[in-house]
Amino acid sequence: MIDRIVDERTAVLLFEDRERELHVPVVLLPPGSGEGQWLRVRLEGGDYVDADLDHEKTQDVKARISKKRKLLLERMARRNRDQ
Amino acid sequence: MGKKWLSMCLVVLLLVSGATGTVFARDDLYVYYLDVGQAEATLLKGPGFTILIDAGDSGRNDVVEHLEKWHVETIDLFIVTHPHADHIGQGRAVLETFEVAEVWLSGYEHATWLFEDFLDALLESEARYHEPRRGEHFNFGELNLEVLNPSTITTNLHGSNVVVRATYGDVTFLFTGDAERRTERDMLADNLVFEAEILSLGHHGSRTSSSMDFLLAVRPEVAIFSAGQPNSFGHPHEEVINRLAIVEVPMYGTDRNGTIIVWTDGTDYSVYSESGAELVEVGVQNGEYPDPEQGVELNSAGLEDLQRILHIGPARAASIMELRETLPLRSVDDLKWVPGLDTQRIEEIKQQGLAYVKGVMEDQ
Repeated sequence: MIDRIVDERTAVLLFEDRERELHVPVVLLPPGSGEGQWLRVRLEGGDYVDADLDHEKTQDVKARISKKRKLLLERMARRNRDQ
Repeated sequence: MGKKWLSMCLVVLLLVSGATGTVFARDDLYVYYLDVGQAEATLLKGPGFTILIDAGDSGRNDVVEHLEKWHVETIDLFIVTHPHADHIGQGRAVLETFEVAEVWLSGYEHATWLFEDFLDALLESEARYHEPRRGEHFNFGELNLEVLNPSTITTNLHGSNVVVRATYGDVTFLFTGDAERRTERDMLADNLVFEAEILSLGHHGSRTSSSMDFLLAVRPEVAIFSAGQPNSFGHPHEEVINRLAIVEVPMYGTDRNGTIIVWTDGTDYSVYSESGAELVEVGVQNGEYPDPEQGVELNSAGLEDLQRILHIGPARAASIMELRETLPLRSVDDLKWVPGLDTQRIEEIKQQGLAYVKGVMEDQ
């Protein structure tokens, strides 16, 4: 997924295996790419070739993160009420 | 404001602060700009409070080690300025290693496995959780913490970056994380007080931050940035170095100095390196950037001129000319897009001192 776009020109990609990080010029990413977007990346010899947007995966992760943030806020609200 | 003094290498203070085993003098505050490579992590340790701002990069394993070296056992407040991997990277390790009383996140929901993993660790912990907003004030012992950003969550992650101003007696620190120009403008428009003796430069010294208007509002006496040496983004950028030179503010980086420490008793302060070596200042005056009359400007030089640069022959010169048609180079580091030029060769090109990119004062 695209962790960040640095200085508006270099995308830093993190991989699901949690072991790799790849820097790719933003101009080589598929249209519509942005931070937090998941991609299906094609590599050759470890180098970036191209990618497709994975909208479904992006939505799944967003939904889970939203739910977990809500849990944190609700937990804090309960703790504040109980004090 | 009391008399300020700056020490390049303060051996006496190193002994007092305890590079080896710390006994903090009463009322002294130490701020450690930790050397965590191309990432950021800052520790504030004062009488009765310990605050951590950001947690380094996900590809490294050094933040816990740094904190243990400075005898951190509990953390009263852990601020994650934003959830990029170079700021939240080792957040889980921090939560699992230390007793953390409270965590601040902006509330921006970044859809990465790393951020999700941090939220999982946070849910597993007993830490309190807060999403700070502009105008809030908090006291930690004698330290006053004012939240300057965000005012609300925006669709831009850096726009939601948590910015805090920490005042200890007469000495103030500004921690900007990766706040960029548009965030600086947004804060400036809100007529906040920005003045700070010590400015943590936004986004590792990138040209996307530290606009001249912002620098003039902060009026820092010292600027510090965290970056790796070398780093593929070219941080700190020449434009920022030039802006700091214009306002005559010394600029120190963890890339050249390792961990940088600021000591203050709330009246005076001093800046020094953990190693005890004399601090190396970044600046045009250090000759780090070539004389434009003698150098080769990468976006305008011809085929022949480009070949004066080390490792550049006819094929790579042609590649540079082709590249700049679609992607004008913004720093010498952008030569990384030229086939065959790796980090080592780019470093050698920099050392040769011929190649440069004409700086653009984007916000002027």
